[in-house]
Amino acid sequence: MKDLRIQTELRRTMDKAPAGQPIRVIVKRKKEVSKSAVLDPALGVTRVFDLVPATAGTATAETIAALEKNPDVEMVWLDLPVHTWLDVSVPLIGAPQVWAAGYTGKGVVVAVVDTGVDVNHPDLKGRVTLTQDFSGEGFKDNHGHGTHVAGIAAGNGTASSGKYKGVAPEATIYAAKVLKGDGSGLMSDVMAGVEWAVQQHAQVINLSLGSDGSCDGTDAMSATCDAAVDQGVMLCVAAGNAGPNYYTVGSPGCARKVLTVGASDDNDAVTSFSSRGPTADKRLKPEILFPGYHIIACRASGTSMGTAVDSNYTEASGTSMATPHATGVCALLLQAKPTLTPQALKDLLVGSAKILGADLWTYGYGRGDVYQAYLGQTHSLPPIPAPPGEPGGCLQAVLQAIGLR
Amino acid sequence: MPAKIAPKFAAGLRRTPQATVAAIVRVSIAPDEAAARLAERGATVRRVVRLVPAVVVQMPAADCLALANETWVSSVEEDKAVHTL
Repeated sequence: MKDLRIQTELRRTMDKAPAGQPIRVIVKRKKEVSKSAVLDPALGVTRVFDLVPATAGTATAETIAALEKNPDVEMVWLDLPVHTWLDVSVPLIGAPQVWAAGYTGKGVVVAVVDTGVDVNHPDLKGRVTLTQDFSGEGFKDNHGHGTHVAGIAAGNGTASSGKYKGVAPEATIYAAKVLKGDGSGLMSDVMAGVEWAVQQHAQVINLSLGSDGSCDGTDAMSATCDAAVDQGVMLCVAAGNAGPNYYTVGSPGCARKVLTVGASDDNDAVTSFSSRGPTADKRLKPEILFPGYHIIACRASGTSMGTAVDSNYTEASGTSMATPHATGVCALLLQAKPTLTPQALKDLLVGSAKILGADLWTYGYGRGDVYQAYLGQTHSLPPIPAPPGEPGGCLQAVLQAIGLR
Repeated sequence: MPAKIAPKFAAGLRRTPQATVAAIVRVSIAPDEAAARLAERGATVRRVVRLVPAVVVQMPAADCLALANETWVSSVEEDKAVHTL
């Protein structure tokens, strides 16, 4: 009976832990017991749950042993880190079924406009066929972000025996470096990178980047993205990581014609950081969600972005990670249905997305599913509701009325 | 009709007229012609973007502000920072 209160893995961790070392735990109390009853003063509480009678916190092995004897405690678990590997997120969006139908992105060109790409990464080697530097630093990915993004969109999983295979594992990759080694750059460099990708006849462009602040899609970077779509190129753009408040989609996520992508987790919940719409001019963005939480994908040689898994892979979260899922999906669909225009592709993706919630400003039309899109299983889209109030809306109205704004 | 220069950016240009600023100048003429005109005015032309079209420049804030008076200039924007997400 005693042993049942402590999870086996936690027991092992307790046995190995030096005296006094804090261990992250989740403590479940008996249903009839109040929230405060089992909280040993030595338990450093980090979160109290309402949905289940449980508390998360840190405790030493000694404190956990004391909790074990507490009659109010039902169970204590080790609070393990959660990962969404590509071997979880890629199947979640239906990619393996599309691969099985014969579509792996082969012959489709995706352009990663980012921090560069490690062209020698085993998962990408031989498929990054065109590169260009707009950062002034040289093309090498000395940050790691672009390589991670490329791996999600089109890595083939060679270094992991296929475990961390990207969405379109046979797509051709072009890469423009527009962000420096510190992960930052200028709007004009992004514009140059997008223009270059269009000139090189890329079919899908991935932009896992953006500026701060809500925007209305009229800025030069957004206009460049829309012009690229007018040239027949699909653009997948990150919504931003400024959630959970409304009106947090930055440029170029606010561009009218691009597909703007928010981030969900592997349980199909929206992440708190994923930027919410509407745009500053009250349009619906993001239109769709893809997995972007604790994604393990390619690690550029010599870089430390994210939480390194080994020399070839690293874990990172963000709408940056959700967006290349969409890019890979577009590559698969363009191989299967080459005549799709960017607008038709966008309509197909949002129409076949799995609806996650009623709040369109948060969830868009749902989480993308490439297999449903491939099958053409679309549903009618719900009407766009009235936009939520702007933050500080009343104050802004007063300032405008008295001529201060 | 929206202003050619956003009020916040224009205010910044007025505050420090001598400062060198990075700007994206969207134009209604051929971008190469616009780049030549901007270079004649002393601007350092960093890039010419044909998709929009636009010219990316560095120039004194006061000169940047004056571009709003040119009929061939559609808008002048700050070349803002972007970052990974």
